[in-house]
Amino acid sequence: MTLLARVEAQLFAPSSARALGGFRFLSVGGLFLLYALYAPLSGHPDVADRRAWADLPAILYEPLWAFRWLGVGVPSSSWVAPLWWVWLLSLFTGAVGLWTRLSLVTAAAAGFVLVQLPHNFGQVTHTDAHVVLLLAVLACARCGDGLSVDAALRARKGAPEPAPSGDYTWPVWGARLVLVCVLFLAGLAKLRHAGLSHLTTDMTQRLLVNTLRYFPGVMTGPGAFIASSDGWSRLVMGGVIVVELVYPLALVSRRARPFVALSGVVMLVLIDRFFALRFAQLILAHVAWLPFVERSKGDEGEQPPAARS
Amino acid sequence: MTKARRAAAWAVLGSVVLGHAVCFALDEEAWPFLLYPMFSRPPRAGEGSGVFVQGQDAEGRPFLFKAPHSWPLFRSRLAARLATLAKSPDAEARLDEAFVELAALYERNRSRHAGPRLTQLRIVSCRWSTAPEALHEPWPDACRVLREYAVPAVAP
Repeated sequence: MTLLARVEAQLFAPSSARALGGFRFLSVGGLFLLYALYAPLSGHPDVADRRAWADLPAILYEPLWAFRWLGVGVPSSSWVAPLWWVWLLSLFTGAVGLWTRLSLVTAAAAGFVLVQLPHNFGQVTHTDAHVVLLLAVLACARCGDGLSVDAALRARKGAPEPAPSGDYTWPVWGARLVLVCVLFLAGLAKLRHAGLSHLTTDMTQRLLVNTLRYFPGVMTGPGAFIASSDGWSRLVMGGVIVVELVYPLALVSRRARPFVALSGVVMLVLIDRFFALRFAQLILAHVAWLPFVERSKGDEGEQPPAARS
Repeated sequence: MTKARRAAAWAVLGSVVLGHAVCFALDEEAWPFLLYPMFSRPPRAGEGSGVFVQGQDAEGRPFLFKAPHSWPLFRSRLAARLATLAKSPDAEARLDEAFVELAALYERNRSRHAGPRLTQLRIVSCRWSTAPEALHEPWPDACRVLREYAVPAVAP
């Protein structure tokens, strides 16, 4: 079997519509809860209610390529506020699977504008761009065929449950691919800009001390302890680099997958808690690795060409 | 699964990979395709540096702007934008414009902070040591004023 055939067999192996519906419910529902409920309490402006980013001083606005290309002027509450409510509503209806396609297309389009809004003011931070890519993948998929209000309404009219299909598998792999891009590139960036200096010099400790002095009080006890020790700083950074660089293994090795995904979650949770970098969206995206969102046991149905041959 | 759907799926997945690959090759970010360089670059010359907004109260005491003063622009975001303005060809005029807007933003955020009435605003360029022994020292180590602005008194 060629490499391409192997990849196709993985991407398009038949899964049930319910499995993809479960993934849609967890990931989009999680985003709804995060932005509607958690964000206002978090006190961090990057995950806060996007209406706070309207009517800010024009001199501080520095639009990124998309806003320049779309001709988006200084964000004004006249459109940010309605778009915010449309986004939350589309996340909710997308999660429960009501008008699923329309909801997810709306969520992806509105998210493209709202998620990047803060990044048009001076600095691009790296915690939430994957949200838009994930929503775009789901918007292109048949996410509403199972475990959704749409599916329940169709069932009431007597429509049979859709047969397992590759249509319900590739979107989960798309979400996994997005996560791999994020974490693997983070590992590559460290090697690209500093080689092995994180581990062979006191660079990591200096980076942490720099953060501690710049944002006094934001690191919790363990974060401050690690920053105060050169050895611990190197050890922790070594662990981070290893997790980031081996992360793609989760795509190709079924055995390694649970360990790699779990270490990714643990790493992000610890960085979020100890070093005050807000990774709630990335942690949430790890629902893509839950085994039941890929296929359901006993799924039968159309086979991918590679499997047929 | 039809051939057309399969091709569309490949196009979506290919776009995700290609977008990131092009950005990596060019070493340039095009949101939402980012390179995630957090904690990857060493501090220059072994020290940290940044541009900050410094307010001054009626008694002449200076204080650095914190997130509640310029909400939702937290310190590093504001610093990055001010550094860009300070390097622009018409830096003085643009920084003066920023002063007026920042004083207004400070007052607009009154519900988030109990800061003093502003009498003066400064944009300062600061440096600080990243050596571990400096961890518990006052921060920043040294600041240089780039531009000052006397905030007009507002009738109570």
